[in-house]
Amino acid sequence: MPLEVRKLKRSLPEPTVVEILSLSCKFLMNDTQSQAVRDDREQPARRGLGSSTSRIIDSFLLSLVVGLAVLLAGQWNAGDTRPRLDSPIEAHPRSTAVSWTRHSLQLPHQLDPQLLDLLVRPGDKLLPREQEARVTHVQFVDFWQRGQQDILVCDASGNQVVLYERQQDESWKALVLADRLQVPAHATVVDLDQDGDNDVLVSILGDILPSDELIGSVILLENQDGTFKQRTLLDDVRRVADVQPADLDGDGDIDLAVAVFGYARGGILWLENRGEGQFRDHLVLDRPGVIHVPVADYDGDGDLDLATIVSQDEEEVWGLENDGQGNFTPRLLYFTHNFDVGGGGLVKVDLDQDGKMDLLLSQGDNLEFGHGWPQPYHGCVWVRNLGNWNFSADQIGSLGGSYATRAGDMDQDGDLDVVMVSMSNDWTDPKNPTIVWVENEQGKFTRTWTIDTRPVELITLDLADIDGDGRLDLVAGRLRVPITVAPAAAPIAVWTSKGASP
Amino acid sequence: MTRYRQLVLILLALELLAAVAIRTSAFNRPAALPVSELGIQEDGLLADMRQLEASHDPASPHSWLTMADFYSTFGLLPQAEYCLQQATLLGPLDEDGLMFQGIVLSRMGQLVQAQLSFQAVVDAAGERQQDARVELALVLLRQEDVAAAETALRAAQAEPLIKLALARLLIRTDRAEEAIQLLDQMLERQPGAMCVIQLKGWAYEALGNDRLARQQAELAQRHIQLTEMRTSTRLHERAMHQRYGPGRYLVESGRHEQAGDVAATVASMQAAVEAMKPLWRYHYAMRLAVLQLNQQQAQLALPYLAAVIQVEGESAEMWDLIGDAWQQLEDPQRARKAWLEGTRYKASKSIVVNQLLHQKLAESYQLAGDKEQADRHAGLAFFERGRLAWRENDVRQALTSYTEAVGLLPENASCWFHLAETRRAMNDRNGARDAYQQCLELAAEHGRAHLGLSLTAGSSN
Repeated sequence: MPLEVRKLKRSLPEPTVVEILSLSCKFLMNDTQSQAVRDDREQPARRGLGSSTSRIIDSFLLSLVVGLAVLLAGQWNAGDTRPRLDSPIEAHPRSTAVSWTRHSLQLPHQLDPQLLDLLVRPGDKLLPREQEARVTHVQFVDFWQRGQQDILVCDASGNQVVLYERQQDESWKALVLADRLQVPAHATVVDLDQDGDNDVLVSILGDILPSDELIGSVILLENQDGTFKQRTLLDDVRRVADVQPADLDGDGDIDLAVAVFGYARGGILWLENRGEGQFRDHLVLDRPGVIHVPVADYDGDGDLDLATIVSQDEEEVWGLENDGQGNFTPRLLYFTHNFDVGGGGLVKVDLDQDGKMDLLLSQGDNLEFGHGWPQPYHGCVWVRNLGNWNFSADQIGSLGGSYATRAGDMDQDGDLDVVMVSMSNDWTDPKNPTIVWVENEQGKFTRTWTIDTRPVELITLDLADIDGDGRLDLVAGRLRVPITVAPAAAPIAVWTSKGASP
Repeated sequence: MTRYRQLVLILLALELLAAVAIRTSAFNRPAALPVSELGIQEDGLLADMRQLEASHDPASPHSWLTMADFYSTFGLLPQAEYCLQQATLLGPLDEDGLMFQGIVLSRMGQLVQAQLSFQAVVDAAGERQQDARVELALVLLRQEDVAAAETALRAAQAEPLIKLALARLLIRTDRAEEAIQLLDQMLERQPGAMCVIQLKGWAYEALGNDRLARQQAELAQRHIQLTEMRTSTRLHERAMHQRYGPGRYLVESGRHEQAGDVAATVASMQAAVEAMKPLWRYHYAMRLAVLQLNQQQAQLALPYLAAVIQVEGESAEMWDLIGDAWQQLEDPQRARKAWLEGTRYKASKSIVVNQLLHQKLAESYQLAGDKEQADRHAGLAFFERGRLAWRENDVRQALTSYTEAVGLLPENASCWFHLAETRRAMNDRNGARDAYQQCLELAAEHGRAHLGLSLTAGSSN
């Protein structure tokens, strides 16, 4: 037997500890067998119960030797094996109450042929290159008023506004409504000229990266029988992130509230509709980093007020109380001393359905470092309207890198749940969610459910029932953050609801 | 007992001894580095990481800290935390190690543990004490522990970032007057600090002094000087990005450029562009193209400029350079077309480009004998020059440029508006009023002109 071992040993170039111990076991096993044979031959009387007990003990001891050897070898070899670390981030489970199927949409990417002449020398060819995914805004909208939800998208690297029309076969057809816009941040659908069709107001950021220059504007895409004429309503301002239509002075026409994000300087303007397509700008609030300006009657006095999120280092939510004639009194509704909180957006919704309009604030933009990592305060803050300009604030749901929030009845139980998307997370772990929903259970938001883990880097979200099955479907857009650790993913994802999981 | 059983028992005893020895570290081998998968990452960075990992010495605490530093900088935080744990197993962390531990924990959202690490560095009263005080203050703010944060902010006040944070906290806790004193101290050192001026305006706003609040708000509009907001942690991270991956070659290229070695400058930049694949950094491609243009190699520059437009979209900066490339290729018509495309956009990264585009177009039209277009673009170039001066509070230069601009572009409402604002800033109220009125004749609904006009009403020079 030892000969066999030696032969085997020689045949192995560099035996590991495990292999040596395994061979030793083999030797022991063979030795055990030979001993048993010898015992059987020499002492036949021992056959019977005593012999079989002895064999059991031997086998047990042998197993112990082998087991311990394997454990020791494992421990010794562990020094050479690189451990795979689990993400410390809590991975939310998936709900059985509702499930979704994901569909990916690609952006149309084409340069004006006239421009090609300026990009390559005669005879040369332009090499194909993939455009950065920088979707700044997605929304469901029945754009053509045909009873069918389309998807309207702002594409900040293609500098275009694209409408995806849902086809009979459930595919999507892309129609570019406007191009050569300098970084569109937000599109607002409104019949501004009140001619019966939808126009689009585009908030022009001017640069996706921080900039304090006068590069923003508001551009109207005026719908002229399906073609869109571009007209500038406001320029010579810093980066514009949002425009919302409303009759702010009670004269029956549509005025506009404008969020000038800027960088270190910005603010809220309202544009008074002076007729014949002319608007006069008025400063309402002087604060940097205003992202959204949701309009509603927050105090229930019959006129429309404004609310806004001030990000950058301020991290505040303001209400702007309208006296009905376009004069606004600012009211600070919420702030945090944590200036790393990273406000991502503000939406209005009566979450508790008490008749008073609340606000949902997304917190999770932490890209000051190259790689954002989930923080305990990332998620959604419910800025709850208690009436008479009193608001409370509670975090509901937790999602690292949370950037956009919407409310809807995801599980069809009659109350409003909350959906969030994540811009930054530990994407090296494929279990970490990119989109979740938080279940409303009698006004308590305790359970968070993962909807999906791809695509990553989502910053914009919308909900609607696009297939008429009575369940809410989802759309989200991706903004690729340069040099971050992230897997490849489509720029736009649509999730169609399938109801309860099988 | 049989010989076989004796042998087995001996083996068992040996194994148990070995297990005890391994447990008590008598034969404990150092741990291996963790798996470090970066997902999609730049080739250059990946190569540097593998090289660093290959030279890692698991018996050296310093080596573990180096790995932790790298992993933390490039987003592999669990790996960084693991390396810190390994370093701790080899011995207690020194001041730098504790500081770094705090930073990693802080970035991972483990705020209480991070606070303990920073506090330990503060208590050690060594060289990193001030850095630790800053991080401690920030981590306390993140926990909204306002009282403790205020104490820490006051202890760490040397940093402008901390002073601003303290001023903000004071304004929010009904102590705006103290905030103004603090901000005034900052303005003594840096009179043009835009954020400080702005915050001072908000302090006056909190005190209900609308006049002074507006004054500060207007002043903030024409200052660009930024306050240094980066902590030592952020500066360290920037240094790491310059040490590894494509950034290494960019820095190298800069060094060659300073030494006047043009060929090496371009070669390093080419290496940087290769190292960033399969990802993309627009300013790398742009810099390479600029270097090539400087070497009269427009044919090499053009593909990079085209690539930027394909990946990032059009911009004034890109069209300006593309125009330069065609000019170099002796195709003035294409050059002019490119510059004209550039005027559709507003440059934001290099805002002087807005002026340059019009200047180049003015010269181009002048050469082509088109005086009307030449004058128009010359006027727009003056307008952009005025804006550059205004944003730096050089109101005299702004006045000169805007005056030239309205001379060439009397029908441009924006030019009149900015001239009016400049005159008002120089207390020329009559002149300002005239210019606002000119603006409003051309653009009746210019809200800011109406506001400016109302501010000049009822008084004269």
